[in-house]
Amino acid sequence: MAIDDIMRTTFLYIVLLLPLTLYSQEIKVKRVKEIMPSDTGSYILSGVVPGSRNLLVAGEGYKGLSIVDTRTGKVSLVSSDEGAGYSPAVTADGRKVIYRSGSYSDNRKYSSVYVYDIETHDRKLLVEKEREVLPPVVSGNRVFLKSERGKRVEDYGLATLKSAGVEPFVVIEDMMPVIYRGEERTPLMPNGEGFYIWVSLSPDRSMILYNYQGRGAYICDTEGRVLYDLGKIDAPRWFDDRLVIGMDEHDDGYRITSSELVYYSLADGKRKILTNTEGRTEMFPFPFGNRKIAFSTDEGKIYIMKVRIR
Amino acid sequence: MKRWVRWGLSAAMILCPAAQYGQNADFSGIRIFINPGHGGHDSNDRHMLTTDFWESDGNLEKGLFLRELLEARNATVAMSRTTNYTSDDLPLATIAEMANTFNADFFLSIHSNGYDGTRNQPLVLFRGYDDQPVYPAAKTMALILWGKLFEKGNCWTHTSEWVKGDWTFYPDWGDQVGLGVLRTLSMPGVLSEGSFHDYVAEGWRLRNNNHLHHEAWAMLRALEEFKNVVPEQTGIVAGTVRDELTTPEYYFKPGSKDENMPINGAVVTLLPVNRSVTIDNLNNGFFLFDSVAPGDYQVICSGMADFYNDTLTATVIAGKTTLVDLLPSFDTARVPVVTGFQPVITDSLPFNQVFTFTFNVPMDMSAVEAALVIEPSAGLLYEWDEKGKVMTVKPETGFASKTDYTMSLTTAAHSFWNVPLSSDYQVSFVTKSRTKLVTEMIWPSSGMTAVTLYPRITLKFDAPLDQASATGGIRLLNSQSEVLGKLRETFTSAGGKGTYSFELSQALQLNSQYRIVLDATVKDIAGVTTGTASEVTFTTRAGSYQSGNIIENFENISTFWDPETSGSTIGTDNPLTTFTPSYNIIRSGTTAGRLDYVFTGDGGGVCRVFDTSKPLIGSNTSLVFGMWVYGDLSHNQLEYWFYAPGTVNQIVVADEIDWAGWDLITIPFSAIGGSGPWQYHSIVVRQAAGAQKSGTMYFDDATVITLTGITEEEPDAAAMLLYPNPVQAEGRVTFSLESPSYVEINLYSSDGSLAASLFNGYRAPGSQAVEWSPSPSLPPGVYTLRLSIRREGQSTWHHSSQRWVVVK
Repeated sequence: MAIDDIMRTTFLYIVLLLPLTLYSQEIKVKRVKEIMPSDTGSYILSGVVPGSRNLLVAGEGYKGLSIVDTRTGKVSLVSSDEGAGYSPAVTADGRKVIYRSGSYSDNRKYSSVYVYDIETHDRKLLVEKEREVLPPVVSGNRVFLKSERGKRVEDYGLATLKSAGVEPFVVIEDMMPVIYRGEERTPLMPNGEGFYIWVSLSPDRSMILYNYQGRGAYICDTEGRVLYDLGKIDAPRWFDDRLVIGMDEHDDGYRITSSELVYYSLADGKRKILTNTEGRTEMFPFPFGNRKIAFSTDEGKIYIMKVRIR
Repeated sequence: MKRWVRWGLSAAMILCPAAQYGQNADFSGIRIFINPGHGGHDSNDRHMLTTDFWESDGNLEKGLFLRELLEARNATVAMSRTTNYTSDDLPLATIAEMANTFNADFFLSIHSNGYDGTRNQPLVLFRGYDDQPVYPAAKTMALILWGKLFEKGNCWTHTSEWVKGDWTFYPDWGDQVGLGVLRTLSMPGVLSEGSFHDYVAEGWRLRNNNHLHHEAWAMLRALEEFKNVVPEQTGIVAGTVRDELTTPEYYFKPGSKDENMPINGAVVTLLPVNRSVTIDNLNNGFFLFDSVAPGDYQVICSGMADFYNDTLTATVIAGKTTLVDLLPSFDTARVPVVTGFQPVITDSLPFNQVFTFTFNVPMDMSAVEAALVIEPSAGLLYEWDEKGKVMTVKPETGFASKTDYTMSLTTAAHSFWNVPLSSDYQVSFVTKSRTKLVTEMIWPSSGMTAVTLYPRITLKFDAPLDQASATGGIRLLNSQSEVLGKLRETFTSAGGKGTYSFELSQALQLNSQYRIVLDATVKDIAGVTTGTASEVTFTTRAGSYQSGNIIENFENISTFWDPETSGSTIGTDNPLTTFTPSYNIIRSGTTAGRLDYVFTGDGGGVCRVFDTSKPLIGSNTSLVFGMWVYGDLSHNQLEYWFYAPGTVNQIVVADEIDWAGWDLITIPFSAIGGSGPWQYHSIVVRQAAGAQKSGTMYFDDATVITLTGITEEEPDAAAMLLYPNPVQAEGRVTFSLESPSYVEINLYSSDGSLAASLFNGYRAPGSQAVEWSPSPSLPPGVYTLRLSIRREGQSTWHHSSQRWVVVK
């Protein structure tokens, strides 16, 4: 075989094998560390701040929203409002937290939306006491807001960081996923009518992850065609474009008896167990950078798990 | 039903434009999330065997009907499930997320409750501590809802307001853990336990859809008050039809409505609106008319075979339930008949067979007894239920062997109201041959080793014993043939069989042989003897008991929960299952814990006694946990439960309960799952297939023992270790020898028979290890491993024994 042929064959193998090596298939736990909040409070993990060492945590019943520094444990209160800790959004540059807070009038829930600057602690009201307010959704540094009075997109990117083009946003309306691209609204029912929860767009914005009727997690494309059936994964989230993390919760009808972290690899189409601990109920995992996963427990403890991706 | 809902709504619009008082006309714009608890008839569900009630069914019916009521009033409603399959049994955090995604104004989780079968009352739980709710509005609604649930019924066993924060209510789950479905809600929510499904009368009512709908109406009324919506302008007439003469066989609160047996199939009519409902055949007697305009009505029950019609008046009030309980009079002219006779098979019956006659009406007891004739003649004993409808007949001393009998109940038998039996009732039966009293079981059994020093010698026979002959004719002798004194002799009889047992006035000696001797003169109550003398030999344990740090001395039984209080207890008969102090059977101090348990089914029962003091036992895996346990030979399974840090249960199988009397039952810390420090928190008796369904056990001095204390006292048999324990695929026995010795290692089953021989031969001095893999044919269970050592040149054997649990 000529040298050229050998080089050509070798190149061909490299080209063929490249996707396999690029597509992560496995997550291995390296170590787990408990974060000790300075106020020793118990919290529900509700988000992470990109590009930082900060987590977003909520109090009981998602009352209040705080930032916890994972290195020092320092807790900084963002808001003590009811519901502020539920599904907050953070801009990609890690500077702004957008959260929805609730208040009751005549036993009806009204919601407001605020944007909070992590550095300056400035707070700005975006939506004031309206009904039918969706949790804010971020794509890049743009935030999608919707209430009974309509929708709008706020842009918080610096000029150099602003996203180009029309950002898609995926939200849940009337229990089904809806994609907004500019003025275009596309409702999706990939699994038919039913209850869709925990919906999110993949980092490359080509796929939508969701849990259908609480019975299993799925991934569909932006046209609503089901691509992957992930099996039972609760609170699923994208770790990257090819890995999904989540939890597998069990209970006796009253009390959560166990919960383990699981993940699904799109590369090999398999659901795998990430943790198997008897004494700890791992719940609500979030990717924290590209080598860590943050999660909380039923007892309100916060942990950081360092992982190896293969 | 919908017609009446619409009618009621129309009436509401016409009669009460109450919005003028600042109230909302309906639920427009209000979003309610309904979670019918459990789902799918699976392991998370609650199934009541007596009533065949599944909690998931009841919760769903209530939820669906509440949705119908709310949507008819323009509420926006979502439900976590609308069907009842296993796939509907959603994780709790998922249910909460559904409500969050739905952006509900309020969350309502619908359940029914269970305890010990003697309690029936509403309970409403909110998130937080009693006086520190996470959402104050949730507590407000909880209080309103409890009031509405309570006022709709009149069969409660307890009347105090029972509204609790889940953190306060479930302290043993961990601080601020509480109900999983409320934990991650982003809105106020409550979990409603509308009533107790294990209170049998309520369990039957929960099978009635009208009763379930009634609870939904109460929830609607609560939501209307909570959400400031115009209350209902119509009312409900509900109640029961019951038999004034008959009380149920199941437990009911004395003096309550449930004291009277419900009547099935009655037709109840509401006049003058002429609405009728036929009561189901599910033993609840419940009826309901909803959406009834305020005013005065007549309620008539009819269509009952044995009762006269009955009529009561009812005044309906808007937004309320008017309860009407009808007690129609019994038709005393009814002709009595025998509706049931046991046993069905009448051939080859035992000498002590018991017969049961069931009548359709209360009978004159003495007249019936006088009217019962048996040929050939035999002395009979009679027992009756308190209503005179069930008569039990048994022989005074026993029927003759291999004999044809005829039992006739003549027409001289008559009802309580002197109505005679319409015709003679006759049954024939044949007894089987019986020439001697049969000894069915002796414990300790022949050849058994490692027997506790505090046994209750137990013998079971095929008939109740003549007590004098047993006391004199059954003895325990030591190796010098001296008779040991007896203590607490007990004779019991059940199912026509007899048991004799006794403790000893002194502890037995270590590693010694004893003989249980039965004379040929031991006889049963009919005078049939064993015919031949016999004896059984057993050997006591070789090693002395270890002492250590007592972490629970059972001196304060109030720190223990009654078994049914624990959510893990299932399949037990309440209130017969109890945990109480024992003052006479104790190991030390002044009290021990006494567990009386009764399993209701043939399998799957779990009886858990929770120790609220949850003593910490540390995390040193070289230690041993032990407890003095007074076994009952039930062959059920004894478990010790521990908490790993937090509240995750770590369950360790301690032993099969195959002994009688006190014994120290130990498990190594290394057998406890998870990582320490552990807390010991529960004793559990788990029902085993084919095991006794009831029993009495005692517990004393739970102790942490250091490993050094496990060393057998035999000088040549140095510390023997079995690893792992329990053993599954491979195990190892390690020990050390001071000099060259002949060694035998054998494994014995619980009846003393040799199960496996692990080693037989010479060994040099020093540390020794013998590997062993249980044979696939060896059944899982608790075995005794016996290490026997004889020094070279000597004739004396030294023995050490330990329990080794084999699992598959």
